[in-house]
Amino acid sequence: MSNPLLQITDLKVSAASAGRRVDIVRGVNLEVERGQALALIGESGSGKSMTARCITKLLPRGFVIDGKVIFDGADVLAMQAPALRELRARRVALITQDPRAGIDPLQTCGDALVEVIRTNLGLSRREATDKAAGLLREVGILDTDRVMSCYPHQLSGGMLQRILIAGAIATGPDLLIADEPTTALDVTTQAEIIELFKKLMASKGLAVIFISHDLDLAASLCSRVAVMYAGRLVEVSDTPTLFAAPRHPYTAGLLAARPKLHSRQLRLEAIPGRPPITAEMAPGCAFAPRCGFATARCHQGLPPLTTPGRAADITNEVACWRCDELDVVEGLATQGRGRG
Amino acid sequence: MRRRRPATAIGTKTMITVDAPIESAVVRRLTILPRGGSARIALAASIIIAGLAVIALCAPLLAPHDPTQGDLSNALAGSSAQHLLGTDQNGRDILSRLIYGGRTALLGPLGVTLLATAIGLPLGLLAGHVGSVVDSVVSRVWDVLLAFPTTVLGILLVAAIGPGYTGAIIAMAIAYVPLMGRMVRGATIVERQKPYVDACRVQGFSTARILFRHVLPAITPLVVAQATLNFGYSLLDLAGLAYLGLGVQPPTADWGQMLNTGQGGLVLGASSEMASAAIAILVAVVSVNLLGDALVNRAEASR
Amino acid sequence: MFLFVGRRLAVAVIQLFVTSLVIFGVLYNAPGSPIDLLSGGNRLSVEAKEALRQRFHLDEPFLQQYGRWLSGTIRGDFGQSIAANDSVTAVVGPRIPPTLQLAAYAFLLVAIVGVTAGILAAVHRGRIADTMVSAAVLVGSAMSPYVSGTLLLATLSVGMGWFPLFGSGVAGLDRIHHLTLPAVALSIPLIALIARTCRASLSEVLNREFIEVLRSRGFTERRIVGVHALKGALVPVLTVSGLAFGFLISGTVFAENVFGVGGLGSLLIQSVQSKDYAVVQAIVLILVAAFIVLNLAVDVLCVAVDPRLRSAPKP
Repeated sequence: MSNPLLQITDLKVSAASAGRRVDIVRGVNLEVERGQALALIGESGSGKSMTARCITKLLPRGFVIDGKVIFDGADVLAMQAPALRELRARRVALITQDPRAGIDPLQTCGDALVEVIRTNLGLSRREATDKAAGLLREVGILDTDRVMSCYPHQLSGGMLQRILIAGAIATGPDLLIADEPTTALDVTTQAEIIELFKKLMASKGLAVIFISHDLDLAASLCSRVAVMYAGRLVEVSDTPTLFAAPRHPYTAGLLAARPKLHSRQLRLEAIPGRPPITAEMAPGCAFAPRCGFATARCHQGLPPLTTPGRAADITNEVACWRCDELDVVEGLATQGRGRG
Repeated sequence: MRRRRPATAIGTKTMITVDAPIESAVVRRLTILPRGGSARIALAASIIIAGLAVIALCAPLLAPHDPTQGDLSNALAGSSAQHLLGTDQNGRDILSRLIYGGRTALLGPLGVTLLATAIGLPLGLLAGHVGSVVDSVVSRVWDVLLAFPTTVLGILLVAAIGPGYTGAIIAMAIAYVPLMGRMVRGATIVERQKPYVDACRVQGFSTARILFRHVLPAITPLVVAQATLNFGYSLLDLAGLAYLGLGVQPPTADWGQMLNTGQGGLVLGASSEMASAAIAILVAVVSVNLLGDALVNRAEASR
Repeated sequence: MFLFVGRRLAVAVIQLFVTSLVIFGVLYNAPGSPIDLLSGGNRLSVEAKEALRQRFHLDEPFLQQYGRWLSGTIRGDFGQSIAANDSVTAVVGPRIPPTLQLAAYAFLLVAIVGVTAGILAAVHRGRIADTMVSAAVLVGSAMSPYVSGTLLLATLSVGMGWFPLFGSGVAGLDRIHHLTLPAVALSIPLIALIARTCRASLSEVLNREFIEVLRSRGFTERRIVGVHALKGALVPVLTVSGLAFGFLISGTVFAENVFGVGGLGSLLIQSVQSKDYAVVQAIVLILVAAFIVLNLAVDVLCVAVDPRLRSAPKP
């Protein structure tokens, strides 16, 4: 499994805020294969969006990036503006959370698509218009003439997100970064968008990084899941294993916190406490203050992301001092019974 | 405060537009100061304004000479120990005129702002809260007034009332009523849509009580901010009218007037009258603008 | 879109009528009866006074006098100038070109310098260019044209002798030379207004999510700022332009008086002081009409730029 499409090595992102340095991403290692869908799960503030933005060096001014981002053999962080633009135009695409905020409100949807196509592919106006209509049909929009003549405020959120996706795949990128693409949409539309992603992955060999805080949604699309907490990865695993046998207490906590459909539940199993603010992070594992299994060692040293001992998890990684000795699912259930 | 309102309102001074957060409801704000950290600047500005006010108040104590009496034989004299800034065309001490000039320069805008607020605030509250006929009538009247450029309206009204200090104040006050009134009306409408107003209504509170005990305190920061900005703008307008000879009449000392007479002295090589008056006006207006901008920041932040 | 323009046009026409009524009505009972002015303070017999009143229609009811005046203005007849003893049109007419030229000159300066400064400040937010623009805006906002005008006069005209002291000069280059200082004086506070609005508006747009999305599509900064961000920033700037035109018009009155430019502004003040009300009414009417038309244009432009404004409900 060499030559992955994307390889992120020891990525660190920090910002200077009010004179102090704030570490947002604290050493992330990630790989994405061609045509693969990876879910990046985490709460707000976990650094997942920042990590994704680093892939095309799309950070605002004032942020310091460290580490390596290799896309198809090219060092992204060392790239200058023209190469970066080429990368963003042809190879990597981004979809953001709120489709209404992500589109120019003063352009018709057709003009927006045609602009992308003409600027990045150099087609004539007529060719671009035809291609735009074709793209819209690909993303499931049938009434292309009407939609192309509409302004964003005249269309629904789900429709807009499809149009944005159409614009993103217009140049045939290899990687699509979807940053919470369905959070602003209703549940039915969410399912439709996921289906659309699946179709695009199948037809174009598109790799996807799906950022979300919704484990189930991500699982329906992605074959691998990476869980982030407080700027670091705490568990990377293939989807079935993650759901069946999570190794990190945080992952187990996330899974346990989902409302259960099939059994009676008197209260939701929330993870106690709240994610740390970077300023108040103590040494040691960032999750330790909230972890029901924490020991003294957990508070002292930062656990590395390593492959746990069991043979079945060769490609999986966990960042927990106690990963080999814990059965977190059983342990949480015990704790839950003790509390309930 | 974002409003989903088009720039199609009848009238020309529309401050409420779609997604125009910079304009908010307050008219003509500076938007120079950053959202936070403007407290120190506001404090400095307040001190300067207070200083100017104190100097003006204590004019009789501070001014070395009578501002209206001049020694013609000593006209347009340069700076000396007797006359720190020299004398004007009538031999009057410029420094004394500058100090006394602060009185008219600061009292005038105060009068304009207080009058405009006294009329505009209640009308705006009523129009915004009660709506219907009251709003239609009041808004139409304001729209008419706002169809004039403010200073031109002032000049027209001064022509009708007659040039003079009080005339100018009344004229500008009338011209400023719609500025304050429109803003209050807009803010009141926003408040009216908030749940606490409904809660008051349900409890049977009278309109007066809702307006004065609940809505008014909520919009007071905005009103104060707008009033401060209006103070600055009317300071410029009144001094301008004085410059044109339509406001404060000679021999009363006034900065705007001194600009006019000082201009005459320029050709003869005497620039201190004009320069000092210009600097005084600039310092006053810039300080007021800074203070007003800071107040607007604070008012908006608290919403 | 056409419905909007039609409605807005109707509003403008109504505004013109109502303001003309206000202009006429405000000066109707103004001090300084025309009779006294005409008679030059001499004692006239009752019959002579009556004859004068009839000649100038001063004995008719208010609305009739207003109607007479209004129909006159539509035909271009604004009455008689008492001070000049000539028709108002003859007195006011020649004053219009200098005022127009001055306003146009200042408008050009404001549009070019103001917008550029605003863009620079927004794109380089937080850096030196931004601070400099902000400081200039702060001081410039306080410089009503009579303040900036006298200062410019003192430094560049009397002091350096680069520009003439007063007057509007003869046509062509000489006129431009004469009108430069007044135009600059007039434009300073307007540049401050436009620059700060442009800066704030453009900064706000540049922070929006769709800008990031456009960057992620590989567009150049030039395209993003020049095409998308500027268009998005346009509406607030256009809205403020309505206000700015008001300052422009008021400002020409000041600028003309400072520099002795023979335009409408200086004649206005002269007429107010000499109580020549027919001229005052005519000039104010012209200035207000210009303001109304300019605001109409601004509103139409706003709606042309931002499609969201077309279908929004009335407030």
